[in-house]
Amino acid sequence: MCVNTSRVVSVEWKYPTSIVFAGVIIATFWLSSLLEDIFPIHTFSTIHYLFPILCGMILYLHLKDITRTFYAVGITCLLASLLVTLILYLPASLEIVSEKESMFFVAIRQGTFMFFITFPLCFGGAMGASILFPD
Amino acid sequence: MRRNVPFLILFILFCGSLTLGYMATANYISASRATHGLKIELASLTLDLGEHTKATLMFTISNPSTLNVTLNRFSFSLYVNGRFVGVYDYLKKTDFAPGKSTLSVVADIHPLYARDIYEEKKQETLLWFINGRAVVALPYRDFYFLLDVREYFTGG
Repeated sequence: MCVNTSRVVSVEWKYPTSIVFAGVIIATFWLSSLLEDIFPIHTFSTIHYLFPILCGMILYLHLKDITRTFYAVGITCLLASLLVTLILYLPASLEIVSEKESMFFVAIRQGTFMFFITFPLCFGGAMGASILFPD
Repeated sequence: MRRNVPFLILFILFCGSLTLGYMATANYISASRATHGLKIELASLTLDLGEHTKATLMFTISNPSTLNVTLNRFSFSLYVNGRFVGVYDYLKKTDFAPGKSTLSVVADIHPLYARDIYEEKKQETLLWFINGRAVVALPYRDFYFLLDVREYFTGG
């Protein structure tokens, strides 16, 4: 008996990849709100709220299952928060900024705050997509 | 093919985000270097006790970042041997490239203080003290920071 696994493999590798992609997108646009004028392009002020919703919608359309999307969104937001925390802590870790300890707590606080904002938005986007595009 | 459309959208957004994220991080590091590493130090002070007494102050500006910073304003109070000499403003916008640069500021001293300085210079060494603040702008829109300058100099 011969089983063709090529389709299964080609679909499965995209799930973690799409999570990483969505995480990077959310982190970047969250940074745009934090860094303001330092950010290379001028973005409008609510863009960091819109991108988690958009990413949640895209993740649902990609995964096509709300339970799996819930976990995927959780991991995505966790990854995005971790990325933002690391980027914020970067000047302190490179010893450019002397206030190493306070920068660490600022970065952790911002990352945690970001997770609790982006996760409901992201999952809300996924829920919206599941209502708008049921099939 | 239709199934891949969300993934393709994510991929395109990811490529854009990665580029923007990299540039933003590089800018953030450079701005941190500029705001935390920029120093204004008093390198030398030359006193000219002529008809109009004036002190020429030579400052060294160390810019450890990769950005061109602009000195928008530099105000300082000058003291000699613990006595106030005057408040000075340098209002000319000056750009400083990465690395070390120099800035020369001429401070006219009021004849009332000049007389005392002249007397003290004959008897003892002059100890100069500068207490000031500089307004520095980075090459981003509306990005300014204040830099405190407290420097001592002996001689003149």
